[in-house]
Amino acid sequence: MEDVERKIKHSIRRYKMIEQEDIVAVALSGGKDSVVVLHILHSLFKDRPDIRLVAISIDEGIHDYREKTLKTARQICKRLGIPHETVSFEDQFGLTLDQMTNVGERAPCTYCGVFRRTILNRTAKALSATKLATGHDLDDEAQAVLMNLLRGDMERLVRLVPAKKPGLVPRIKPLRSVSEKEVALYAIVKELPISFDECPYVSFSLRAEIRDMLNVFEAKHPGTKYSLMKSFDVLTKSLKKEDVDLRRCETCGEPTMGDLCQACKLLKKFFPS
Amino acid sequence: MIKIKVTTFSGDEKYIEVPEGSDYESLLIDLGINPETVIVYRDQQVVPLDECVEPGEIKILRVVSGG
Repeated sequence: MEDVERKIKHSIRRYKMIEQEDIVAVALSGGKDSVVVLHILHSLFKDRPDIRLVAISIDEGIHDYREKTLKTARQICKRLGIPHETVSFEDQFGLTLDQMTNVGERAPCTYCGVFRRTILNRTAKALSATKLATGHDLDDEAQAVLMNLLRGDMERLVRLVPAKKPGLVPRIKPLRSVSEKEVALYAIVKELPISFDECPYVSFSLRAEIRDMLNVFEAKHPGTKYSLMKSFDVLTKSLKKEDVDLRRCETCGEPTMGDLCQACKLLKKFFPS
Repeated sequence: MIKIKVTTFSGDEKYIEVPEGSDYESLLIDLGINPETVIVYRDQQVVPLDECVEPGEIKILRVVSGG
């Protein structure tokens, strides 16, 4: 377990994830990854008066699933004494994810991904956060890199490289060098409250195939995921884009490449006027 | 041969036999389970996969999420 903590500390230092005077908002779903991030950041920085932590949970409105994980989220925040903000799709956008999925044409994960990103950034800014920490682990990152490579989606691949963008709270991923299994073991050994429930919208997508493939490779050739990320880190030095100039969404003011942000584009379909 | 009872994440229970000296990793592979995706419990304790199998009962918990 010290090994997990050491790897996380190393990533935080190496990528300068957290600096003096930071207010770190942690995206907390209640799943194992986010609970472990919150727990570890708390144990690393609780004695630092200049660094503050705050947790943000999102209630997308997924019946019979999110209620349970939100309970776990409240539990861990209470235990650690961390301020906790819960924001819902319904309050922010007027519809729950279940309603969007019933009415809209797009896949639930499209709505969820876009709206969640918007809410997280908006709420992090409202809380004056200077960093936004997510629970992405080594498996998530390795899957994303390989998936974008196999799809030839260089734009998304480049987006995995951290870049400063005005209006966006910088994202940090403290678990990027720790595998999903190590995260689970850590949570179990530390007896953290975690929810093993799975989202009912989980789809057996390309990502699931890549996940299985990477796990087969990892079992046969230990270190595969780590090597993939090491290669990506070297590649990113040449991939690194100029920090892009983002515009402000005409409707909500969130940063965007075009006139309207993705969230407002999707909302327009639900509320045409 | 060592006889053990295995409870899997889907709630299935079965009895299997493995040769003396096998470790938990090879037991998982025999069951068609990728060791990267699960944790093995024995007497409510997590066991390292390179440990030798002992007679008794184990539980297998899937820790790698779907989707």
